[in-house]
Amino acid sequence: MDDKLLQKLKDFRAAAARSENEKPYMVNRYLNFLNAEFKKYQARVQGEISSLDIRDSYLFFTLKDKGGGSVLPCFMWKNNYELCGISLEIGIEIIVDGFPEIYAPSGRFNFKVSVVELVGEGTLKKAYDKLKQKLEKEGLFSPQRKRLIPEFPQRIGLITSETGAVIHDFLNNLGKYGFHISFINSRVEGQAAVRGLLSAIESFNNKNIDVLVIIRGGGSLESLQAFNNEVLVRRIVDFKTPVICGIGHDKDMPLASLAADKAVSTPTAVTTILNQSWDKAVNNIAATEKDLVYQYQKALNAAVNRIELFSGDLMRFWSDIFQVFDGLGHAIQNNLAKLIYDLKRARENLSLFSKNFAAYFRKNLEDINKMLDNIKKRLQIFDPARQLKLGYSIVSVSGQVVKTVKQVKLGEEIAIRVSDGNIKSVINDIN
Amino acid sequence: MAKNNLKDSLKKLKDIVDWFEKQEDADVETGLEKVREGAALIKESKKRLRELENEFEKVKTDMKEGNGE
Repeated sequence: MDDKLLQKLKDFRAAAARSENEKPYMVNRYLNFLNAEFKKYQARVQGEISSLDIRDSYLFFTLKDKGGGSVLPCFMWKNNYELCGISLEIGIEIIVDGFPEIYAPSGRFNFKVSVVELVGEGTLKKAYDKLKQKLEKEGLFSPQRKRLIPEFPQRIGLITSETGAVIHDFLNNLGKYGFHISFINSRVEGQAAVRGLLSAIESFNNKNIDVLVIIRGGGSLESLQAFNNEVLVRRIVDFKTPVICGIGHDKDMPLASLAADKAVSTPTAVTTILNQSWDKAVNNIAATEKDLVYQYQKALNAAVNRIELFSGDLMRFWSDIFQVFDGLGHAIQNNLAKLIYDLKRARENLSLFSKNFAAYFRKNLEDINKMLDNIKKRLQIFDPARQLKLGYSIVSVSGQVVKTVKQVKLGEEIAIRVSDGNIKSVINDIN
Repeated sequence: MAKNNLKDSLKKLKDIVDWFEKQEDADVETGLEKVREGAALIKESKKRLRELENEFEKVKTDMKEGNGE
């Protein structure tokens, strides 16, 4: 017996043994088993839409190879479709991400799509421009609605991929200012990243953060598709705190960046924004320190100047007073000198006067003496005694000197004074 | 919180510098008090800045899947 035949025999015996020992699946259970197994076969499949049926809560479409006959029936929930932010049309080429599944009630095989994305830069650019125009009209990119990044942010919500250099660049360049970084890992590549990004944003909505940061490295329009997603853009606009996007890009800025409150293109630039107020504070403290010393020095100098001015005024004031005193002193000195001079002069005059007076007096005295001598001589000449001695006598009657005969009467007693005595006589004749 | 204290300290420091700038004839004694207050604020702020360390926390999320059929 050859080996092949032997193997077949073994397989048959094993199958027979299984069928004897194992319980058969019920249909539903078997389908569940298959569907669980199918989930292992998640894949991205590219094709052209050949049919499209959009219902209220789901949609069916068929993908086929360009120029080939193979078709793949696809099923997608409407909310997932809307999450992708693109419009499907028959004839366009797309890539779907999903896994096979058998719908139990009908036994129909479908490729269950979770993410659909456009193919080709041209198509993507067209979709980008269209959505940009729409959101722009709504004012979602308007500078007026941009919120300021708070001063001294501390609680940072960070969304990015944990693999790659971006997160390391971000953490390495963030200043040591006591930042508390809450990080949520998310895919950032392609359309498939939308769900993770939205989920992360929603998680941060319930967290106490000062600012939300979304970062990723540069890429093509295709790889940045998630950041041009309408739902994501609206979530960024509606987010409770300011959002900073640091997404690298070539020509077209991602719509998420346009909608963010602050947008830069590198993680390092994001850290610059976050560090800014802290860096400024450090510089301000250093500058204030210098300024404070300078200001106090200035105040001290001003006080010293004021004291100097005041003391100058005081000196001038005292000087003025002393000048007045000096003037008075000089005046007193002058007056005193004048007084002394006058007194000296008076004394000299007095001395001269007394000298003159003495001379004058002496001369006068001499004159008086002479005059007295003269008078004496004259008196001596006219002295009655002398006359009496010469023989003259003085006759008096009743005490009256008789100068005329009329004064006397006959028989009257007269007194005759001679030089050496008196004679009494009686008148006996009058001629 | 350090954040508020630092912000408050910076505001107080700015007020002190403004006070000096507004004075034509600064009262030296009040000025000295202000300088002392400013120096204390600067010292405290520098200390706070030196002490600050970053914290990193990875948040786990239960990512919502799409609706099942």
